[in-house]
Amino acid sequence: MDKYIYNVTGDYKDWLEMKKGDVIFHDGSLIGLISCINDTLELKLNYGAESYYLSEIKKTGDVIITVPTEAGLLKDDYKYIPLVFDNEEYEELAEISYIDRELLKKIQQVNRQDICNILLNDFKCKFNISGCLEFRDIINNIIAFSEGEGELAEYISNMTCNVNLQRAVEKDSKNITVFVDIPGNFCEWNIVLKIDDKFYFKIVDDYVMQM
Amino acid sequence: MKKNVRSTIFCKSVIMCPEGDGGAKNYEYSKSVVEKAKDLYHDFPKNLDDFVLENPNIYRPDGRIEYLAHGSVNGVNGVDGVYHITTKGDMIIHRTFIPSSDWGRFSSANGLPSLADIPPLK
Repeated sequence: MDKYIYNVTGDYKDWLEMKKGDVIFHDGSLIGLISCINDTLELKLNYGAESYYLSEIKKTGDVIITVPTEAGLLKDDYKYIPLVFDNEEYEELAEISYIDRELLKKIQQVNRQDICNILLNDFKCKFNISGCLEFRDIINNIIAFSEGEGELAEYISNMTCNVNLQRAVEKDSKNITVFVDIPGNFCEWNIVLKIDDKFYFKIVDDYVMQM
Repeated sequence: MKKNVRSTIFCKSVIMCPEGDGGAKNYEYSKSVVEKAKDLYHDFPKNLDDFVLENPNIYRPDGRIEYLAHGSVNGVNGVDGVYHITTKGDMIIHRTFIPSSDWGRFSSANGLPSLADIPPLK
């Protein structure tokens, strides 16, 4: 699996290119890359474009994950891509950034609302939906699943998942489609994987979360 | 007129003149400064430059002169930190606002004074 690559440049080492495989997540300022606002760690990335966007840095189990900000989700021009770091990748990022390392200790745990927000952002991006939409709106408009109807409906409507990310195993995973009928949009949402008879949310390509 | 008083030492590694000499010059921005001016920290208002360039400065053996001023960006409730401008010849080759949460490690890496030793923006 690809790892994050960090390339720091500039006379004052104030510029960072951060990529994974061919995908550039940041090509911009290293100053203020990580900040701590109201005891919440934030990451400011530009995803290789000109504008910068904030996400929150949180941890769960052995990994660090970025989650969208509540304020960002309300904006149509907000950009967020979930990033998951293992300890080694995060430590390298912390080392090259300039933030006071004491502040990094304030990292918070991912909670269920964060997961809902990640899924909501995924849905809005994939189906290019702008305007106010809540995760509950998606849940209320699910009309079918390609498999595991009853079980999945229960999991998703109650979000009874453990907030525990795992590396995706490449063996025998099967995409499960969630059919959602948002007024004006019929959406086939591929957010669920089935691996060894268990269902998982696909958070990023190489990390899943068991329901 | 150039002021050239080198008497105030604020930290072990650098010498800071008590008053800057850059305000009277017309500097050009280097290509790097222009290219990086895409986020607030690399693109704070240009009209602040004259004030930063009037602050104490640090002379480097390679010809760089570094100017520092303690201030904030984004208004009264904004982020506290340090305006840092570096000139070389007639060019501004570095222009950044560094939040105070980053200043400790940034200043240590670049041989710059501590936050407490940097005078405020005039």
